[in-house]
Amino acid sequence: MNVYDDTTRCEWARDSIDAYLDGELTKVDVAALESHLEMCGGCRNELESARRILFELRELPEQRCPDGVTDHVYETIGADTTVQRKTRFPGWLSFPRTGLLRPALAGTLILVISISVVWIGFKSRSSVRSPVYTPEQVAQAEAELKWTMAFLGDVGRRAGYAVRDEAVGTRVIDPMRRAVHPALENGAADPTHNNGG
Amino acid sequence: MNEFKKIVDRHRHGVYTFAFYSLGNHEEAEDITQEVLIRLWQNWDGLRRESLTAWLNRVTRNACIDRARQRRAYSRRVVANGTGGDVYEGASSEPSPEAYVESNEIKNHIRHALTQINEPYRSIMILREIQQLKYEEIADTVDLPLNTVKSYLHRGRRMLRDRLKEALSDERV
Repeated sequence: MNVYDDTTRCEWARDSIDAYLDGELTKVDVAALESHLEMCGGCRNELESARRILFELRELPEQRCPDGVTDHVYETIGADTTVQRKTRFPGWLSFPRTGLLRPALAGTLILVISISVVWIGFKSRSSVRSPVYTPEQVAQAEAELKWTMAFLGDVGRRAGYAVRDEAVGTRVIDPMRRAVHPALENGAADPTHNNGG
Repeated sequence: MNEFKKIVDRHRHGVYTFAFYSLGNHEEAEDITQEVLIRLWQNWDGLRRESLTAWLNRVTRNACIDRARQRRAYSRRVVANGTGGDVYEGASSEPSPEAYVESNEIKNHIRHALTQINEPYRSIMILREIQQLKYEEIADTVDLPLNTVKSYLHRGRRMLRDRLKEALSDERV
């Protein structure tokens, strides 16, 4: 602590009183403050005021919320026409989020990013003045392009499979299978299966 | 709906208490509590239960700040509540009627002075000293670092003391 005169010392003491009451001062500062308090009546009074106000503040009672307040809330939210609950997603997103949206969005996003990267690459190359390429460089570029296109094709196929599995598999084939099986159990002939007799 | 009612029962007094000490009167505390609980219902589906308390504290505080901004002339009315056994620490276990009255008067001054303290000092004091929240919970509510909350709490208490000085000098504190 650097204190040079009484005013500075008192200012420091009054600034430290709350930390002192909360037990957050270092031992050195506690000793300095207590030594100052012994000599300074003004700061002693400040400490007593602080102590009492803090005591009274902490004694302020919790206020009881009247039942009428919650009754009114339940009445209001009971009438769902006036208070609508918010959903996490807007209406146009709420239907497909359970099935197709995620794989379709992921596929589209990958496709867009890939095309953008390739396009930016071409643009940056074409912006270089007077490009002179050796036949080896041209061959390498062709090879890279083929690899890129093959990669994009693969991504597209995978996205297609994901969509197919979600849409056709779970929504068409599975329900049909479930519809056909009870019929088989009842002894009906399976038209898709040749029993050899 | 049952779970919602349980949560409301658990938190409504906390919301009401914060609003009351923040705005200084019961009418506005009732309005704020209703507003906050309706917003709780509106956001019910998207709320994580473990962060509910912090969410309620934040929304209540923001609603109180908005309300305080809306009213041009700040209400200077001090509501005398008169509840609780308000006894000063230094008094005997059975306080004299004079000490009881004096303590209630000081509490009224404190209530009134609290509403005059600027944000975020006021909210931090209410949350810490009256509602006894942990520093971490307060930091979450007012969106400030932990050490800042501690230093603002001390600064707020000093502001409160300065505001009360004149009133307290009349009461020989």
